[in-house]
Amino acid sequence: MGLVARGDAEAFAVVYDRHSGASFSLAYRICGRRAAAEEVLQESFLALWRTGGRYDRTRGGVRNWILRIVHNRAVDAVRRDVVRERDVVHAEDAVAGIPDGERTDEQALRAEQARELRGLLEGLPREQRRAIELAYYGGFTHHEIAELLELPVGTVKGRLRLGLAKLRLALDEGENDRAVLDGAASRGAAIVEPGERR
Amino acid sequence: MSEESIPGGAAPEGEDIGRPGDGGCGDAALYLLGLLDEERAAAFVEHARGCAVCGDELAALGPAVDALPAMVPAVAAPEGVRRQVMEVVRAEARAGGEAAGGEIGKDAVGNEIGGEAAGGIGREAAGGEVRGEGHRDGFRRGVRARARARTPRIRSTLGIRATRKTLGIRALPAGAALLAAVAVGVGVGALVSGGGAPATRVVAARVAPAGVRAAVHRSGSRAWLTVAGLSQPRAGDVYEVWLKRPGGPPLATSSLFSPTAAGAGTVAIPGDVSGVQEVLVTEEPAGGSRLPTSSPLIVVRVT
Repeated sequence: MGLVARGDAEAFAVVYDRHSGASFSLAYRICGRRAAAEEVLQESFLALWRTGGRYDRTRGGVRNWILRIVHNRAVDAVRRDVVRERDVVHAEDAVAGIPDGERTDEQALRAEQARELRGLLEGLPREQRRAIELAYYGGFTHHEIAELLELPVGTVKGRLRLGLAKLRLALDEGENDRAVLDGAASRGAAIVEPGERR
Repeated sequence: MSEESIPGGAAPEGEDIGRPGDGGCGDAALYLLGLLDEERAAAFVEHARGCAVCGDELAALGPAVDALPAMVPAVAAPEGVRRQVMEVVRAEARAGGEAAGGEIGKDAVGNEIGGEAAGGIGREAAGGEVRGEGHRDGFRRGVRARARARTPRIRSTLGIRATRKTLGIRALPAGAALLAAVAVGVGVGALVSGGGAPATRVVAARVAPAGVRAAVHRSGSRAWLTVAGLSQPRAGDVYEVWLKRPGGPPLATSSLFSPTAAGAGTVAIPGDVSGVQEVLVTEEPAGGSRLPTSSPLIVVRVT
């Protein structure tokens, strides 16, 4: 990002290539329409190019930083859409996914990671998951969600908080599980699935 | 854990938990998800500085929010967007790159703009895209981020970013816009891109105030407007872009803008411009108008 901040277009191209896939995926998930997602992607990265010097590495990774920019742009795009044709687009509907055979290793890894993470979200109680999806991917405010679901605003807020808290716990548990497996593997232990013979 | 077990959680009578004056205690999730408006976000930031509960909650919930973008299914980014982005980036880099290093503009109230990484809650007033991002991280490091104002919404922009409230502008470097406009000359269309990339057609304005250069750039169904030498709109006003199709009235777009102090800027023309005959610019009250309230300052005939 330092080179980008100094106006190095080729360094920016590297950043673009590294993060545009995840960015477009997020924008598409939120906007639900390819054209709108393309516009968000373009706007986000041009904004990124023009403000690259403001990136502060002590505040987190470049990807998170970029994805927050994209998220905010995408939500803005949805909110300014006069038609507001924006119920939550379910993942399976939104994806014109990359055929497995055309994925790079990195894309395949990311897709697998996304599946795992989605599993955590899907593991939440439906009402909490719905609130989070509407807020984060749908661009709805908590007041709008309350109206949509015919719930008190306080209930929506509670569901958001509880859902995020549970999601955090699930993330931590997932990391712990991976650490245990990694540790076992590094100690040379055989990891045997139930029913599998050594 | 039930909803009722969360401190400040679901209110039995369904009332809003955060109340004016309480600083939004318990609003960490809303804040992290970017759901608080300007006033409440600022109040929450202030409150959380001294509230251990909210500070802890921010730290606890932040990683969950950060994980949400990674949960979406992968969709390949279109190659055409890359070409368009890199075309602009390389042009700006060639034009001197003054914007590339995070040139910071000032909006109508003097806020820094262009600050995606500025750590502001308010992506609009801060000019950044980031609703609370810096604060989220900042809070995790000890609740030290500074609140930024947040204005109602951002309009569709490419090089210029404008808001209803402040019309904060982030423009192409003046040099780039000037070059673009000077290159085509008034009333002349030209194809400016090559090298295998889709051609970008540039059409200069047929009507513009003296000393003002304006042009519409079209690449496929996308278009953007560049201006140079354009004075600031009157206080409380903004420039608005309109699209006129044959036989129809000018239709409002979401593109509102003010130029930089140097009079330059680039603004995206939203939507599909196929069939558009003219791109017009009028001066309108802040927030824009549904129908033009003044004669067009700039007219670009694109077909």
